[in-house]
Amino acid sequence: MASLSDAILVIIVLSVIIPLGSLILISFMPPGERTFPPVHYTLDNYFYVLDKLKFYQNMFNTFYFITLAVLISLVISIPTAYAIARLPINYHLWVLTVGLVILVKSLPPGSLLVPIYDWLWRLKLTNTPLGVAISYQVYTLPYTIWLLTSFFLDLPREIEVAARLDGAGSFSRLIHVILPISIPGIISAVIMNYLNLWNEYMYSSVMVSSSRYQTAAVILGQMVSSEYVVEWGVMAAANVLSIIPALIFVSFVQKNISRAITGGIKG
Amino acid sequence: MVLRGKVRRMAFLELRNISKSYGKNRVLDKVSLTAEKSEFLVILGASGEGKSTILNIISGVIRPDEGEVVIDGQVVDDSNKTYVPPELRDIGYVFQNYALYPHMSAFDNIAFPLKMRKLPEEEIKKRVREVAEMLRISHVLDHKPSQLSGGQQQRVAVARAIVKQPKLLLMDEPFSNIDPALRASVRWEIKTLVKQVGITTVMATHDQEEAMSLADKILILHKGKIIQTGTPEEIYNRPVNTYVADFVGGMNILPANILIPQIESIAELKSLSVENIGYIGFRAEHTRLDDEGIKGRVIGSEYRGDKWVVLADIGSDKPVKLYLTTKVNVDDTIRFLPSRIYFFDSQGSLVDTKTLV
Repeated sequence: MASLSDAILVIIVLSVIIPLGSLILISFMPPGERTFPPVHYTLDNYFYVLDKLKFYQNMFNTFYFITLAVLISLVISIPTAYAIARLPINYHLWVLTVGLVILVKSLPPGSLLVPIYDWLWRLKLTNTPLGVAISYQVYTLPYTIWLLTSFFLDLPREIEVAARLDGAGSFSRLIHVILPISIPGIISAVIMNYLNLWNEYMYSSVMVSSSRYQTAAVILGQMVSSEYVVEWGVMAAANVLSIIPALIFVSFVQKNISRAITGGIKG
Repeated sequence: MVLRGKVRRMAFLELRNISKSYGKNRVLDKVSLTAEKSEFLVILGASGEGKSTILNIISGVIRPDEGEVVIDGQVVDDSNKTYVPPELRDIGYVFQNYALYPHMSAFDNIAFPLKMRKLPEEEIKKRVREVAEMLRISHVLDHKPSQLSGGQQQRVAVARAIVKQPKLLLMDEPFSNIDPALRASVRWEIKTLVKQVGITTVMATHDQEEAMSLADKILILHKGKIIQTGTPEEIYNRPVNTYVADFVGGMNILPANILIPQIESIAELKSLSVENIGYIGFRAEHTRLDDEGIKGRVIGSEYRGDKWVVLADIGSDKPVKLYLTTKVNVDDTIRFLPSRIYFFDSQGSLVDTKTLV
């Protein structure tokens, strides 16, 4: 039986390594060449992507929009999650909030695309970083509220009671006691949001029409769907570049990721 | 003279007919208690009897279904519209698990209630140092709770509770997480400290020894009711019923029909027989060997230095416990006399006590 599970593992690993390896190899393939694996190796594709296409600008856009979206989400989610988890709020209000979070979380994100675009357009926020960040809330907000609520629920109640008896009102409790001991939970939420949004395509492409604010994922999409020749080498190079930040990020926070993934079940 | 009947002196802390149910489970049933200023009250009860619920109702974390809570002449909860939230009640609370803030140093933990009162920085430092000095934790003020020993954590928790000089100090099983070897000395320290500060204290515990050593007044909580209130001596000497007699000091309680035939054969005890008796009790520490006494077979004997702890079978379904000054061996037949006997009726309520010379 060990050999069977080993075989399955090998297949899974290969299914990741083969496409990734091919991608890396193709990114070094000289333009116009069509042999695989490549006979000659060149860095031209990378120079082209960075120098001509200014792809780093798109990668920066991705990072910028996600950061903005995560900040907005945290500012809204922390008090909301705390209220859901702990405050003696009106029952109907509680049900409404929790219901809304679950509803949005379970809807396909695309179903909200049109109303959100309409809204942002009226507010003249399309084609702005803030607009994109707001549209990203479809993904980040329900997820963050859900994750933090479960985290807050697991905090020991006595500590909050102690803070109440020490004279701290609900806001002071949140700032001085709950937030500092919730830092692991907040870090988990931030990590997961970055990973979830790094490849976001739908909202990024619809909310932005000017090339200035296009994200890396959108540029990659355009390269494939372009009506001209698909430059495989260039596309592969851009792809590899866009993987690198995510890779660095993951390697830095590896320890926190497993906690973040299981965080929804048990903080 | 007419007025006198209406004037009612108010105690510092008063609970009036507090009831609380969780679903169908009635945890507290018309509980009333009073504490004078600087008094040390201990609520004694087995676990699950609602001791913590009383403390939580006093602190305001839980609201009662019925009844009133009065602190220092102010009604803080009338189980209706009047409700002062915990953060405004000025109460210090020591939790069973201490509930220290894990991200703050010991100093910041103790300073937190003062910061919430927006006292000036200098004043905060001065007060924290004072109270740390009193509790001998000055040298660990910059440690995080996780770096402190259990005893130090407990002292930080006590320091945090008293540093704001609250009206009331509440403690919920404060010694149960402390190493048993240290418990007695910690208890002594807390007692001295509380007396020195002169703070009105209510403590909940299931440990009768703790209650006896700390309390000015003990309240015994059983099945949601306070069944006896009194000084430790009163509780020990005149337990209202068999439950209290057994719970505080572990009395030997036997059905009267087992003991009465034995008693009747003993001239000294015969004159004491009382009407309508269901149970008869005596304490282990009130027994001595006597040739004329109750007959029993030794089934266990342990040397404790100052005494022999002896279990003897006298024909009841539970053996009786005796403290003797002389050695007896297992399977010996002994005769002993209790020097003080408690008589309970068939419901278990105390009817009378008799002391033999």
